[in-house]
Parts: sequence; C-alpha cells; structure tokens
Amino acid sequence: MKPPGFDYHRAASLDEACELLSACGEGAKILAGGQSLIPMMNFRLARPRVLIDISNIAEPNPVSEEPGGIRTRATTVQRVVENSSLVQEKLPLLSYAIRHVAHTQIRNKGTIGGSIANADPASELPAMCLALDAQFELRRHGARRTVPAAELFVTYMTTSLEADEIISSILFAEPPKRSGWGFHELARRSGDYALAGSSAVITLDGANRCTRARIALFGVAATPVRAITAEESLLGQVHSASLVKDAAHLVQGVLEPESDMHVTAAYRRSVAEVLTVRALDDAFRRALAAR
Amino acid sequence: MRTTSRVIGATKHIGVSRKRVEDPLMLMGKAKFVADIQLDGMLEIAFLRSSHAHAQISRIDLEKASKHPGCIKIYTSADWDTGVTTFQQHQGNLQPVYMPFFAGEKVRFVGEIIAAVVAPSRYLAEDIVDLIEVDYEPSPVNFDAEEAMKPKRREEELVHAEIPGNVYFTDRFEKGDVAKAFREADVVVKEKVEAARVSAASMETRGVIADWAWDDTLTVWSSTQMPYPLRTHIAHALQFPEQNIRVIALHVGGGFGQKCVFYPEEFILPWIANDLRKPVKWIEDRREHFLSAAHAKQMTMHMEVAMKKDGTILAMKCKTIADTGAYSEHPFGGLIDPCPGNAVLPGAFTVQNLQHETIAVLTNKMGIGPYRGTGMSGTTFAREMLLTKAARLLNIDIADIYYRNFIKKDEFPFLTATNQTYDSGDYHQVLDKLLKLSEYRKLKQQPRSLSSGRLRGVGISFFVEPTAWGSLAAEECGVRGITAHDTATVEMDPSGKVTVRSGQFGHGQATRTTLAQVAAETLGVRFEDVRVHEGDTDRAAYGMGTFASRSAVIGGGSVMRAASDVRKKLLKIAAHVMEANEADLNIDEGVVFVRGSPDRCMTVAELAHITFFDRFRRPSTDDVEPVLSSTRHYDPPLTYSNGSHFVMIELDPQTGEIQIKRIIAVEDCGTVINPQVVEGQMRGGISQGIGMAMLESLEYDKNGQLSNASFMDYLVPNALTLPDIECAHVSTPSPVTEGGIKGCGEAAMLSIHCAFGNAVADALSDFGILVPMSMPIGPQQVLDLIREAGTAKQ
Amino acid sequence: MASKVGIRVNVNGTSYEREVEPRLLLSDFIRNELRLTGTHVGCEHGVCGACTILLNGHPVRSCLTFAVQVDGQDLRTVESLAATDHIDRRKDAMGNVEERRPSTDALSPLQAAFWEQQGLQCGFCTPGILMSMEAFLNENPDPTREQVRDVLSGHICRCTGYHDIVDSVMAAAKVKRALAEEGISGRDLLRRSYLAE
Ligand SMILES: Cc1cc2nc3c(=O)[nH]c(=O)nc-3n(C[C@H](O)[C@H](O)[C@H](O)COP(=O)(O)OP(=O)(O)OC[C@H]3O[C@@H](n4cnc5c(N)ncnc54)[C@H](O)[C@@H]3O)c2cc1C
Ligand code: FES
Ligand code: FES
Repeated sequence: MKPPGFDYHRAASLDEACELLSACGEGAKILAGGQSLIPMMNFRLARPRVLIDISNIAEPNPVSEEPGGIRTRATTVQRVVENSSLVQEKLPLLSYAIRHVAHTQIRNKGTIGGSIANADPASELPAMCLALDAQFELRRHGARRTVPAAELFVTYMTTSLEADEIISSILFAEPPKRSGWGFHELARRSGDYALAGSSAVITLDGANRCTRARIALFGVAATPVRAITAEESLLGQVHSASLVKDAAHLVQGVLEPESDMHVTAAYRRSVAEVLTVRALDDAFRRALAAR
Repeated sequence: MRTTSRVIGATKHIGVSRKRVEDPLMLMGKAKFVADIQLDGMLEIAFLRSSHAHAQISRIDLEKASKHPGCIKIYTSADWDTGVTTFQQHQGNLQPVYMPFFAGEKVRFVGEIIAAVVAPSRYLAEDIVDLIEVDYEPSPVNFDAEEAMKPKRREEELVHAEIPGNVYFTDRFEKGDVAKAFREADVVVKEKVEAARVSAASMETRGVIADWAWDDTLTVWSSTQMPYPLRTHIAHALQFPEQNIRVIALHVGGGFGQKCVFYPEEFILPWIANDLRKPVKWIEDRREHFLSAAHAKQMTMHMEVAMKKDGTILAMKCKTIADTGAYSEHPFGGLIDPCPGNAVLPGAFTVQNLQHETIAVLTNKMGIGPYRGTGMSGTTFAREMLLTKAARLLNIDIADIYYRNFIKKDEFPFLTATNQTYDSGDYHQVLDKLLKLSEYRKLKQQPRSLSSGRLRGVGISFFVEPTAWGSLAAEECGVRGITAHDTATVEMDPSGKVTVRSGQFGHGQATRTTLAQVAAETLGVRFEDVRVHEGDTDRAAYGMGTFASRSAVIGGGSVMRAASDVRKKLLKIAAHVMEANEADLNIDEGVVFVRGSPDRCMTVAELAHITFFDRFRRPSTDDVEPVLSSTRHYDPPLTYSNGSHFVMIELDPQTGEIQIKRIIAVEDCGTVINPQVVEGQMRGGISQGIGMAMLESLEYDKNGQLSNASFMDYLVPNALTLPDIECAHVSTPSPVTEGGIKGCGEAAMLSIHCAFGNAVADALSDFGILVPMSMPIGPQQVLDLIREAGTAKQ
Repeated sequence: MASKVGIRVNVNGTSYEREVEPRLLLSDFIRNELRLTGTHVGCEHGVCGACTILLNGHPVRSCLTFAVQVDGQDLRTVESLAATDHIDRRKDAMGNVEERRPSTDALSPLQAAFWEQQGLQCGFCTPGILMSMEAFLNENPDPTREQVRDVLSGHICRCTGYHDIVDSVMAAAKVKRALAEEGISGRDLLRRSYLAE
C-alpha cells in the first residue's frame, strides 16, 4: 500500500494553485488535507499525475462573519471550524455535525473544502451545505463564480466543479432568529461514515408556526439530498407528533439508497425517516426555546 | 558467614501485579518489531497476488515488469515449485491438502501469491507488481460451504482436483443414548446457527526478514507466535540444516492465534535470501493482511437441544460445517475450528447424551487458522442461543437453567459428554457472584422499555475453557495429531542472577514478566534478578510458542520445574557450605537462611560464586556438579478454567442500534500469577468477543472478492463501542497442574458474545421470542428480527 | 519517476534536511529516513491511529501525509516523550539497548501511568495513542472518561479492550494536575509523587 509516483507543486496562494492547475492539465489534482485522497492513493485507486498542494497556504481569516452568514476558507481544517467560537455561536449545527466526521486526528488535517469537493454522499459536510444554504466561491485561472449548494453535488463523489476549478470559500447562511436545529446520524461505530443521517433547521414565528424549514439527508442517495416537499409540508404549522411524522414520511420521495455490506437499501429508507423525525423534533424544541 | 536480621517470607511473587518488564521499551518507542529492523543492503519484496478467486493461470508476462529500472528479480512458481502439505498425523480420515508457496497453474483464492518482486524499496516493488500481466481463465467459484459440498460434475469446479466433494475431513461422535433422550424430551429446539468469518487483525501485520550470511547461516525475523516450530519447518521446506537457522521474533504486535500459522512468505523470503545472498524484507500491508492472513471461525451449525420441562438438558446434537477456505493452513489446518468447537459443546453441564458431526469444507476463500477461542466461539454461541430460546419457551430464566445443569463442585474430576476431564471448579460460586454484582435478578424484573424509547436488555453466559494446550489438551479438543509440550531452562550465573530460557513467546501476554515471577517465587530470589529469554531460537529453549491459553500453565509449569531443580541444587550446596541440614534451609529474597535462626544466612550470590569458583568451599564435584541450571519439560494434563459474563445493552428498536452499557466478567483461572495481567487478558478478550458479536465479518461476494479488505469496512471495536469492563475473580487452583495454574487467554471468546446475544433477545422480549441465530448482530440484523416478529404475528 | 525534493523538518527538537521523493509518506520518512521507528504503521489508510504524531502540536496521521508537505514544520514523535538521552548514550557504550533492562526513571508522567495501569499489552498501538493523549491532556487537563474515550476512538487497540488505557490517561491527568498545582517539574519529583499515589 504505497502511493504511485506524481509530480508535486506546493502552491503559495490559491491564485497560484489555479494557475498551476490549468497549466498542468489533465491528471492534475488538488491536495488539501489528503485525508480522502491519500488513502485512495495508498490503495492505488487514485493515480494523479500531478498534485498541487494547497495545505500550506496561509490565508487570513479562516472563519469570518459576513452579512448573511459565516464564511470559511476552503482550506480551513475541520477542527478549526468545529472549535471556532463564532461557529459554535451562530451555526451550532455545523459545529455539531463536524464532530461526527471521523476522529479528531483526521479533523486536524482534513479541510472543509476537501470534504465538500470529495462529495461522498455519506459525508456530513456536504449535507450541511444544503441545510445551511451554503454558497460556494469557486475559482479557476482568471475567473470566479458563486454556486449555490443545490448545484454542486452531481452524483456519487462527483461535483459540478470544472477540472481546473477550486473551491476557495464557503458562505454558510446563518438561519433567521427563532431557529432551531437537529442532527441525527447512525454509524456502525462512532467516527465511521454514516449509514444514514438527517438534519433539520426550523424557524418559527411568534405564534410558533413554522416559517422556514430545511431538511437535509446524507448516506441515502448518490448525493446529499434536501427534502423540499417535506419542508413545505411544515410551513405554517405548529409542532405536533403527527406533523413531524407525516413530514418525515415525505422524505421517502427523495431517497435513492443502496445496499452495501452493512445494511440494505430498505434499512436506509426506514432509518432515514426515523432520524428525520428525531432531527425535526430537536429542531422544533430548540426553536421554541430560542428567543 | 555474615549475619543479618531480616523478615522472613515477606516477598511473594506469584499473585502480585508486578509491573510488566516489557513495557518501558515499548512506551519509549524503542521496542523493535520486525518492520523496525534495517539491515545493510536490504531489499524489499512486494507480492503479486491473485485477483481471481478461482481460475487457471494461462499466462504470466514479466516482460514489462522486469524492464523496470528498479527491478532486481521476480520469482514465480517457475523458479520454486514447492509447497507444504497439511501437517497432521493421526487425524482420522483427514485428507492431505497441498499448498504451493507460489500458485502455479491455478489460483484458489483472491490474495494467493503468484509472484514476488524484489526491489530496493517497497514503493518500487509495488510499481513493478503493477506491470506484471496475468491472464486468468475463471472457474466457478465455491462461495458457500454448503453449496461447495454438493456433488460436482466437472473437475474444474473443485477447489482441489484430488479432493472430491470439496470435503477433506469428516468426523462423527456419539455418547449416551441421544435418540432416546430426544424422544423423551418435553422441548426440542432446533436451529441453524451461523458464525461469521472474522480476522484477528492484530495491529501489527505479519512481516518477514531473511538474511542468508556467507557462512551459510540463515537468520529469519518473523512476526510469529511460534519461533521454534517455524525454524523446524523452514529447515524442512528448504532442506537446510536446522542448527544453521535462527528465528527471531523480538516484539510481536499481537497475534491472537493468527500468527500461529506458517505462511508461504515465511518460506519464500528465506529462499529468496539464499538465491540473492542479500537480506530481504517483506512487511504485510493491511490489505494483504485481510486477504491473506488466516481468517477464522466461519461455521454453520445445525444444532438441536432436548430438554425437560424443569430445564434439565437431556441431549444435544450438532452438525458443524466449517468453511475452511482454499487450503488447510499449516500446521493446524481447517480442523482448528470445528473440532475444538464440537468438543466444548457440553460446557458447564452434566448432560451425557451428545452427538456431533464435523465437516471441513474447501471454498475459494482464504484459509482459516486459529484465533482466540477458535471454533469454540461458534459452537458456544449456537448452544447458548438455543438455550436462550429454550429458556423462553419453558419460561425459566437462563440462570436457572445453568444452576439446574451445572456440574457440582464435589463432582470433579468430571468426565463430560465429549470425554473431556474437567479438573476442578465451583460454577455455582462463580455464577452467584456474577448475579450479585450485576443485580441480574432485579434487572430482569424491571420493564424493558425505558423512557428514552430504548429497550434495555441484560444477558449472561457461562463458559468452561479448556486451557493449557499440551498434547493431551489438543487431543481432548479433537486435534489429535498435535504434540504441544514445552521446555524451559533456568540458569543461575556466578553472580547469582537468573536467566530463564523459555519456549513460550509473549506478544502482549507479558510472559517475560509472569515467567520471571514464577522463577523468582520458586527459587526465592528477587524478581529483578530474573531475566527471561524468549522469541529467539539462539537464546531461548525449544517450545511450541504462545497460543491457546497455554503459556501461563505450560511455560509457568516448566519454569517451576526447572527452577525447583536449581533451588534443590543450590540448597544442597548451601547445606554443605553453611554446615546446616538441607531440610532446615530456606531461600527468600536471594538469601539462604536456616529456618528458625534467620541470622545464619548467606546470599545466593555468595553461594553461586562459591559453586562456580571456590573448589575448596563447595562440595565435592562427585557429590554435586557445579552446574546451577536445569532444563525441564512440561506437557500438562488439560485444565479447565471457567467464568461468566454479564452484558447490559440499550437497543433502539427503530434503528437497531445497540449501545453496551455495562459488562462484568467473573473468572476462575486457578492460581493467578499476576492479577493485572489476567484482567488485561479478560478485557482484551471481551473486546474481541464484542467485535465478533456486533461488528466483525469478512464479506466475500459471489465472485469470491473480499468486499471489506480494509479497516474502513472491516469494523473492530473502538473505545466508544465498549464501556468500562468490571472484573472479579474466584480461584479454585487446579489440582492437576504445577502450581494450580489454569489458562485464561481465550475465555471471553467462548462467552461474551453469547451474553450479548442473550441480552439482545432479552431487550426484544416484548416483541416475542426473538433470539439472534447468526453473528455479527448489527443494526440490520436487529431490525430483521423485529420485522420477523411483525410478520409472524400477522 | 518524479524528481526528489529537498525538505527540512524539525523532529523532536532536531532539524533534519533530506531529499525525498514526493510520494514518500511521512510515516515512512520518519521510520526509514530518520530511523525513528517508534512511530508504527498499522493500516496506511488513516483508521488505526498507530502512526499518529504531533504536527505543529496537533495529532495527525503520518500515513496520510506526504513528507514533502511538512517542509519547514515541527513534528513530535513518541521518542520525544521520555528523557532518553542517557539511554542513547548507554546504547552507544554497550551495543544493543534491547539487551538491557531499560532505565525507567526517564518516563514522562503519561508513560509512567501507562506502565502503572497496564495501558498496553503488545504495545503496537501505544506510540500513536501516547501522542494523541499528550496533546489532549495539554488541551484538557481534567477530562472525563467519556472525553478520553472520544479521543481514543481515533485509535484501534486490539489487545486491551481500552479500559486500562482510559485508566492510564485518567491517572496521568491526575498526576499532571497535581504537579502543575505544586509547580514541580524535576523528573525525580515527578516520579516520586507519582509513586506515592
Ligand atoms: C479514517 C477516516 C474516517 C473518515 N470518516 C469520515 C466521516 O465519517 N465523514 C466524512 O465526511 N468524512 C470522513 N473522512 C474523510 C475526511 O473528512 C476528509 O478529510 C475529507 O473528506 C477530505 O478533506 P481533505 O482536506 O483531506 O481533502 P483531500 O483528501 O486532500 O482531497 C479530497 C478531494 O477533494 C479535492 N479537493 C480538495 N480540496 C479542494 C478544493 N479546495 N477545491 C477543489 N477540490 C478540492 C481533491 O483534489 C480530492 O479529489 C474520513 C477519513 C478517514 C481517513
Ligand atoms: S497507519 Fe496511519 S492510521 Fe493506521
Ligand atoms: S496493545 Fe496491542 S494493539 Fe494495543
């Protein structure tokens, strides 16, 4: 299990990385934390010809507040975001979700951008992008664009990034006042990729009616998925067991789970619904408590 | 003669939690495992392994590979067409299975060695492996053992052409009148029970270094549990004088039985070292480990239990089909699971009517080998799950089934239904203690359903563990052909310090510590003054190694014998020197003194010095030879440990998730040499047993590809899988072994998974009688069980 | 084949300069190039944790890092925990250190606690665990058992069942706290107060 050979470039800035990426052409890849790419290379399942290392780019403000939300640089390691007091205060869901990504030793190296670009459907962070209305700032040599979360994840471990495009930062929207969140995942062991997971953000009005809802699931389709019909079914409603149960049932419409050696597709379907109930209950509870 | 006043008998070494002498080196990162050894000019090897489970090899093209600038040499079966045949004498109708070191015309499992590439580094060697081209002509894959046993039309369907029906060993045993017992039973439970294929997956993978010096001596470093037998087998396979071979296993990062197999790499490396006259190294990577280090425990058991209304077990029947993979791994072979498995069926019970059948089947998977608890894990699971079910049907608590059927403490020695002679124990006391510590009865009264929506379940299990694998033990466990005695040498040098040379080899069990404790206690010297050599055939003593809960008993026993010889010799000399009566002398803390007048004393060091160098003071050498050493052998009778486990779980009926809340273990392993070490063994075994119960399974697909050859997908317990593990002890010393020692290494793997299964059944009891009949029990299996209850009700 | 790249790293306080192939894993660099074989390799895909080292003070997997990536950075391995200089000196004087019973007064409180509480059996997983815990106890000097288990869950130990490791870390935390309170630093004092526990 030794990686195949490659040419190595260490980028001093994201601009340089973009330049290198377009100059090196096919077979060139970004190396961020390496926590997904290097195991693949050690198994010789990935054989990039050139690696452009962005792990040593020192960017100011790894996590910063902006009107509308919290921006994290793509190169920020997951542990930093998890422990950021800003994130813990404004986006507790994000911090909580990151704690489910692998183990501290991996999160000390793995980056936010890497996890998103890797687009593993069982990953927590891509689903959080959906739950928190994230906007990605993408860069390529000489060009920039902004893409909303809904447009990034194409299919299993595939994004709509161009071959020479880099995620440079992610803007997570801060949910409105009187919002609450819920997050539940099931894994065989703590730290493993989820068998299935669900998260919710609920916003209430003065009469405790739901004005805004986000439900994002992971591990249950080829990409992380948002359950929009289920979200809509909550609007204008006050919390009740049957409301949540019916809404959770509606997530079935967006699930396309697969069977693997751990559990069957049917298992994923049924557990996704159960976890959604729990996530919604938690979200309502927190929203009710919020001032 | 110096006079000092001293406290007598203040020191005890046996029964004390001595800190382990092994540890400081390891804590400082200074311990040398095989991968840590660097020799000048050493080359590295990577293997090309079969990517097909069953195929003819029509072409191997080395052309591109050998042109690689880093390629030193590539070896295939064309260079060395040799192998080994199942090493088992006296074993019924066992048919020998031949295993080539390099696959020749045919491959039989994914991971089988086809070629060895030698290069300056492992990185380059793997690059070159990628360039070798192999053409395979696939044959049908024998994927399922029960399918593989069915008659085959074409020879190419067989794993080995010379073994028809893919079955290479069968055995049948019956005692008592089983048919009658079944006729008279009030309840009969009959089930098919399945145990998954697992891997011991020690943290250190395998690894071999071979260095063939110009003086024609061969040094082999290997991560093995049995250095001496490996030496013998290398000598045999390479036709090379055994006295010229040195096998070293300095530190080994866990074995658990898996490194009790002689693997092809352990022969290929020495052979290549000879061919190249250069040191060569191969360190198994984790993928290779899952593919090609012995698997274990995959068995299907068709089991039946006949019981009376009051819970008395009348009879048991078990047909055990072992999926032993493509080869009968050297030396124990595929019998290592089903034979001991069937032999322990009676457990702690008096039942005398028993029938069992063993079938060892070849399939296109990696071969199976020993792993903590061997096949006993599977059959105990089958028995306990059937008893769990019977208990529910009879509406008797399983604890009361145990009490009803237990062998009583005054019934030892007890000959079981499988002709094992249990030496001693007090099963009632052990179970009493467990039930009390766990408040089992009280918990059983409480509702299963908790306010969180989870279901609480409690389970217990009781085991009897055959320990001290000597030849007799092997025989009583159905592996007749094995000779497994051991020797130890105890030497005192002129300074009075003691060297123990043992044939045991600890790799986590702290044998260097415990054997030193035994020697210190027997001789009466300070613990610090004893040094134990093991794991190096130039420095230790011929022995079979450490496995099957044998080291404390056999290693301890042989050291005890040799040390007491030396002690006797020393006392004889002391009596002469001190002009005292030999019978009045005693040794403590390195001082020989006269009982009753402790100020008449001499140090062991003084006496040793006199023995070696002072011909005027020591006795005539015609009387006593001035040699303070002894080599003794020990092949003990089998001794049986016992104990019991308690598991409390919380189960989420909506997701099938299980959290373990409490584990308690009570164990009786006779005289305890070092309680801390014993508890370490108990806890470690429990961890592996829980892994087997809820997580671990090597999954082959229908094409014979291993789907989870990584730690990402082969799941072993981590620190959050397990709660704290409480240990308690009962001690009934063995009347048959030296010092009353019994083994303890495997216990949990005969029991904890049963307690876990029992707890799952208990948690689900509101749904009906739901007992898991296969391992592992993951969230999917739990929901399947609940669903089964749902459909049954409709 | 890709050409070699020059790197300079600081490992356990010593600066090393080497030419490495870009694909050389940091674990292999530490073990084979620097001959610091205390860092073990158990899986090379990030799960087992045996290869864990401190990179700029944070525990990371050395098997999931290329040596070239850590150019100019600060590493600590298990060899840095004990005061082993005199052992190295003795090793030079006496040949193989393996042959001698090691002097143990140099163990750090964390190592001493592992020894005392039998936080290891085969010892293969131990170096990685020690490094994670070294960083963890600096961050959180007064942890709960659950918190220790959480960090420990990033490591696999096949021998101990983890219980004794948790005991060891808790014991070490206690000793370290006591020492910090009293401002004691000398190694002798360290050990004495520990043994008095
Ligand atoms: C043992 C283990 C357990 C794990 N468990 C989990 C888990 O439970 N949940 C989970 O979500 N993840 C898990 N992971 C994966 C981990 O979260 C990775 O850190 C993450 O997926 C990738 O981040 P990275 O920075 O390491 O990216 P890298 O591995 O460096 O890169 C991953 C991919 O993304 C590309 N890339 C990286 N950064 C960018 C960028 N800025 N722009 C464009 N492309 C980019 C790379 O080219 C590469 O293709 C686990 C990993 C390990 C080793
Ligand atoms: S070797 Fe790095 S985590 Fe296993
Ligand atoms: S002590 Fe052996 S793996 Fe942890």
